[in-house]
Amino acid sequence: MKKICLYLAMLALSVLMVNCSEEKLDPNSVIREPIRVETPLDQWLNTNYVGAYNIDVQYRFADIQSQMNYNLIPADYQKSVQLAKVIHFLCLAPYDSVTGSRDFARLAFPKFLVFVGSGAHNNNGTVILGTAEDGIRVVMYQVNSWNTDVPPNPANFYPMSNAWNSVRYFHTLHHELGHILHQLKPYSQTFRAISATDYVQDDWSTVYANNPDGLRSARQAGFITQYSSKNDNEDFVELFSIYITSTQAFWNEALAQAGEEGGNKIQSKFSIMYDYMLNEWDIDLNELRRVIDVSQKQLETMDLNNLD
Amino acid sequence: MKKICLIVLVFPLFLQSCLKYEEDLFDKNATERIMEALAQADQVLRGATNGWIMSYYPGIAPEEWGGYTLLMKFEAENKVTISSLYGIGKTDSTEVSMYELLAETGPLLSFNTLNPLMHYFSDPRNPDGINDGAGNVGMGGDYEFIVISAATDKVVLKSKKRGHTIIMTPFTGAASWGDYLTQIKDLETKMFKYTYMYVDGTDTAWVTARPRYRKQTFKYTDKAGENQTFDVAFVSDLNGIVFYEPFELFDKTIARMDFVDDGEDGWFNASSGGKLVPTVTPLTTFFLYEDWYFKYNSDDIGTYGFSRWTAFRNGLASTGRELIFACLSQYSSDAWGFSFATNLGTGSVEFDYTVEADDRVYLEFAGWIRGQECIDLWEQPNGAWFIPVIATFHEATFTITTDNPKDPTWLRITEDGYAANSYRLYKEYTPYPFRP
Repeated sequence: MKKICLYLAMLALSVLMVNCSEEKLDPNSVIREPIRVETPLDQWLNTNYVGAYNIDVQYRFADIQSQMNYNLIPADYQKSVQLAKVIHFLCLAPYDSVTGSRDFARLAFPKFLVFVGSGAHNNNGTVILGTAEDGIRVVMYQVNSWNTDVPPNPANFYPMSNAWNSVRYFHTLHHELGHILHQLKPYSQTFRAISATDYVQDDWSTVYANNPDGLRSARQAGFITQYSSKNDNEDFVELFSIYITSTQAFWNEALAQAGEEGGNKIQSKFSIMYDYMLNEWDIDLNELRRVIDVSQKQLETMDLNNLD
Repeated sequence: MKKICLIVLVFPLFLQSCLKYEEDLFDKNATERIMEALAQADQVLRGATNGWIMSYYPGIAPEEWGGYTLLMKFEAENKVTISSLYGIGKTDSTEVSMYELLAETGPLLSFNTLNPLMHYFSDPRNPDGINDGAGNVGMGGDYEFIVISAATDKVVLKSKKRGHTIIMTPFTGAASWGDYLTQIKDLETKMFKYTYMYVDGTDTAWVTARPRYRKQTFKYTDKAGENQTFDVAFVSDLNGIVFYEPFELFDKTIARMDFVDDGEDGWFNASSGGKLVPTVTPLTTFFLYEDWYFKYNSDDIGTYGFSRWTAFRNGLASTGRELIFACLSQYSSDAWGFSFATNLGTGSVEFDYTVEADDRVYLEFAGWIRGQECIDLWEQPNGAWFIPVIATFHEATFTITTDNPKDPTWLRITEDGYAANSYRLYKEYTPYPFRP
C-alpha cells in the first residue's frame, strides 16, 4: 500500500513537472484588413447601406459568397451602382417613409446583398435569378443584364417595370424581409387555419407548374402564387410581398382568376396579414404600396449613375 | 514482478522535459507573411509601366479552346485595363475594371468586377455562343489566379479552378498596345490554316487546326505502326506560336514554332528542327468550319431556291419581321446548320453532314431547332414559307466550288444532279440580305 502511495506521488510530481515553459504571445494580430482601395461606390455604400441600415452590399465577386455549382461572372461596376441605388430608393426608403425612421428596415431587411453578373444556369436550361438564405443573404444574379434603357412595359405587374428582372429582385427582397417580421412577432393562428389542409410542402413546384396554368390552379386553390402553397409562412410572406409590389389592377385580376372559393381564401388571409402589419408593425400596406408606386415614377427621372 | 511493471510504467513519466524546443521556422507569423506576399505581388503587377502580356488559357483543359493573348495594366485603386483581340475585342479597344489581391492559399489575383474582355472566356452564356449548349459552361475560363511567383520579368499564375499555368511577361518595346495587337492579328491571318504537314527528316505527321481556336491536332504513325493522335494548345506572339507546354514528337521536344513569311503560304520552323508546312485544305473543311452568309438575288440563289426565298422575305415582312442575317455555320460546339437572326430573335436549324469527298458534302435536317424565334417561324402558319427554304438543303449532296481554293471569299454549293438548287455563300458578314 505504501508503495502504491509512493508511486502515485511520483506520478503526481511528474505531471507537475510538465508545464513549466512559457511562450510569449505574438503581439501582432493575425487579423488584417484587406488591401482594398475604396471606390466611389464603396463610399456611397458605407454611408447609405452600412451606416444607415447595417447592410453589406457585395458587388465584388467572391465565389465563396455565391453558388459554387455554377459558372458565374462578376457584376459590372456601373450596373452595380445603378442597382444599389434602385434598391435603396425602391426597397429601403419606402419603409423609412412609412414608419418614420430607419429602425424598421435596419431590423428586418436582409443583411447581405450579393451581386453576380451572370445568371446561374442549370443543365435543364432554367436560370436562377435570385436566391435567399435564411433571410440573411440575398444573391442577385444577372446584374449585367440589368437594363435601365428598356422602356416601361405596362403589362409587367411590378410598378417599377423598366427592368425586366426587377420583379424577381424586389419581390425577393420584400419576401425575405417578411420572414424576419413573422419570426419576430408571430401572426395569428387563424391565418394558418384558412388553408391548413391545402399546403403541399416541397411538392409545390410539381403540384402547381411554373406556367400560367399552374399559377391559375394555385390561385383557384387560394394561393396568390405557386410558392404560397408550400406552407403558411411562405403563404404569409408571398401575400405581403406580392401585394406591395403590384398594382391594384393586378391584384384584382389575380382575385378574379382565383374564382369565388380561391378568391375568398386569399382575401381572408390577406385581411389577417394586413391587420397584422398595421397592429404589430404600424405599417399600412396601402400606404407602403402607394409610396413604392410614387418612388418608381420618380425613379424614371433619376440619374442612377450619380453617387453624389 | 508487479514492482518492475510499475517502475517500467512510471519511469518514462520522469523523462519529460520542461523545456520546449519549438523553433520558429519563420520570423513572422503566417498572416504577416501572406500580407507581405500580397504587397510584393501588387508592387510587381503595378511595376510594369507598359503592362503585361498574359498568355491565357480558358477551358477545362488548355487544349479545349487554345490560348489567347491578353494585354493588361494594373494601376492604383485596384484598377486594371485590358486589351484583347478576342470576343468584342478589337486592336484598339480597352476595357477598365477592378482587380484585387486576396489572401488564400497564397496571394490570389481576382478580376472581381466585370471586364467584357476577360470574362468573355468565363461567361456561362458566351457572347459568341461558344459552347452554349447544355451545362452553360461557355469557354469555362478562370478569372481568379493563385500567384505562384511574381518577379519583374515574369509572373507565374495558376488558374484557381482549372489549374492551368498562366504566364505574364512585361510588355516591352516601343510599339503601342494597339500596334502590337495589330501585328499579331496580321500574323495570325497569314499563318493560320486548317491543314498542315509536320516534317522532320523522314518523320511526318498530319496536323489539323481551327483558326478560330489556338490549338492543333497531330496525327501520325509511330515506329510500332500504331496510329497516334494528340492535341496541343498555343498562343501567338510576334514571331509565331508558343505552346502551352513543350511536347515530344519523334523523340524531339517542340516548345515553339516560328513563322516564315515567304509571301506565299509560308511555313513554320519548329524549335525541334522540324517544319510545319501548310497543305491544300479541302473545300468541305472551309464550308463546315466557317460562317457562310446568304445574299438574296438571282445570281447567288438558284432558281429552285429563289422563289422560296422570295416567299420567305414576304412572309417575314407580313409578320413585322426583318431578317438581320442568315448563314450556314457551326453555331455551337456540337451543332452545325442554318443560323439566322430577325429583329425579334435568333434561331437555328441543325443539320447533319457527311463529307463524301474533299469538295462534296451530304446534308440532312437533324431534327433539332433552337431559339424561340425559330420555333415561331417553324410553326404554322409561318412554317408554310419558312420550312420550304430549309428543305432546299435537306437530303441533298452538294458539290462545292470557290473563287480561291486557298482562301475562299465565297463558296458555291450546287446539288448533285439538280443544278437549279444552288447557292453562293459569302465569308464576309452580310447584314440585312433582303434590303435592296
